Amino acid sequence: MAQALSIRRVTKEFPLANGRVTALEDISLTLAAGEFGAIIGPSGCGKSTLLRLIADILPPTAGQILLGGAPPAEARRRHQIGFVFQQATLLPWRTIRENIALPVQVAGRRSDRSLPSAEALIALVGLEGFAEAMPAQLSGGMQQRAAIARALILRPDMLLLDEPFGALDEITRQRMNLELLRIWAEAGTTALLVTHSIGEAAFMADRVFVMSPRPGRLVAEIIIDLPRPRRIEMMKSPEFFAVVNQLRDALFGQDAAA
Amino acid sequence: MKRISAIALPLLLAGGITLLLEAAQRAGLMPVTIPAPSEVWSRFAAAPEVVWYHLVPTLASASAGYGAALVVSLGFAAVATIVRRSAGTITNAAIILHAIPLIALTPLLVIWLGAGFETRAIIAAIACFFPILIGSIQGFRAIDAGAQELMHLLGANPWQRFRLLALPSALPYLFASMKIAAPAAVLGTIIAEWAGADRGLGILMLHALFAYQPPQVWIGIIACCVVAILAYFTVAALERLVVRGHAGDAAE
Repeated sequence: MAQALSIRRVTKEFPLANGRVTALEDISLTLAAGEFGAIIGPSGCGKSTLLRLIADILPPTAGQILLGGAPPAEARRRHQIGFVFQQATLLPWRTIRENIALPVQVAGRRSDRSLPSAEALIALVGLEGFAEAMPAQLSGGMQQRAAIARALILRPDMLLLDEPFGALDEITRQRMNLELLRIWAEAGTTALLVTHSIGEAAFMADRVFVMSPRPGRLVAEIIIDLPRPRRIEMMKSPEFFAVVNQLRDALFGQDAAA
Repeated sequence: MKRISAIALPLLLAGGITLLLEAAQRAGLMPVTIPAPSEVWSRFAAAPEVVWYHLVPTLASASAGYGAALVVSLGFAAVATIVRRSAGTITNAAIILHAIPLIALTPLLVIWLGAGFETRAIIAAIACFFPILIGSIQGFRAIDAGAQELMHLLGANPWQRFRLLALPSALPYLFASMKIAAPAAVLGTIIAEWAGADRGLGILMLHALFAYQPPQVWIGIIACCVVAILAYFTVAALERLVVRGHAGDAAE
């Protein structure tokens, strides 16, 4: 399969008042087109920073990142990256429809018939009837649905998700994860999810990258061979437990060593 | 209920003070410089068209000055936001201009530009540009960091960032400063009129002062108050029309 994402020997340092701090050290990974990847690690392991490097929000200090063969800046300019933040980051003065259509407006492609309509995405994320609502009128989960719709409207090849459901309660979160898998399958993009939940990574991903903090390093890459579509009942299966245990070992093995 | 008391209580207070002044003046407790409210009223009722005659030019130059200040301040605030390095220079220049007492600057401007309508509008503009400039720069700075990352991701150009993000998120700050600036424009106009004009609330007061007619001075003061309050509420009403979706907006 074609490589959707290739990261080669990437390091990221931030300047401090006295010296520098290494946020990411020598990260290398690849993700095939259409795959669902997850990055898991404790707070401060640089997983959100890595996502920002991929999205060309931050530049790497060293190393190379390629999205479908192109550097992040180019992929971003071509609108090949969809990004979902921890917070929904909807503009409070625009309706849900206007928020979802924002990327189309900025890209100057309002008359482009090849793009899905805001209505189609509203339906895809299950927000029918809320098109004219203001963000403040929606619950956190519904706001995040709108943010996902906004990230998908320009048909990106790569969907980056930075702990998108971290602020939601466990029940809503599980439901949103199922929804996200359905949306991902329908949209047919490559996805990379940052999370600090072992269960979430195991449930969602084809491939999990385990990171350790200070400095942020990749300590393991685990392939999850569970059948799709994934269902809640699957979480009770011994195969799922085996994956969770494998992830836990990878995460806590480093703690025992440290 | 809340709304009624918000209007009724200040009215009640003003009414109480009026009655108290009236009683004190009749009992001979007040100096002649504070006339009885009834005396001010009968003076006004005898020739209300006089107030109107002076009110119109004051309103005209205050509005013109306010509009000009708004355009210029927003322009400078936009430059300070887009070209980050210019922000310090713009703010400092504004502080210096604002630090010059208006009453000292006015005669100079009248000498340079003559005692015309434009001069009064310019002085009104100087009186009210500062809060608008500071408020809008502050507003443009208060943009959500996540929303800025979003705009970067979407590849928005500086103009799109300004129009789609900076301006709408600055509007609540902008309106707060515009509400402060509205009465200041009236104040600036009156100071300008004192330095030379043939019509205007400032002139009405000045003539009454030299003719030693305290009731007439009071008519001028009350007219200025009413204009300043109306200016404030006009901006507040405009805010309700323009600003939508912000947290505080739906409260009422």
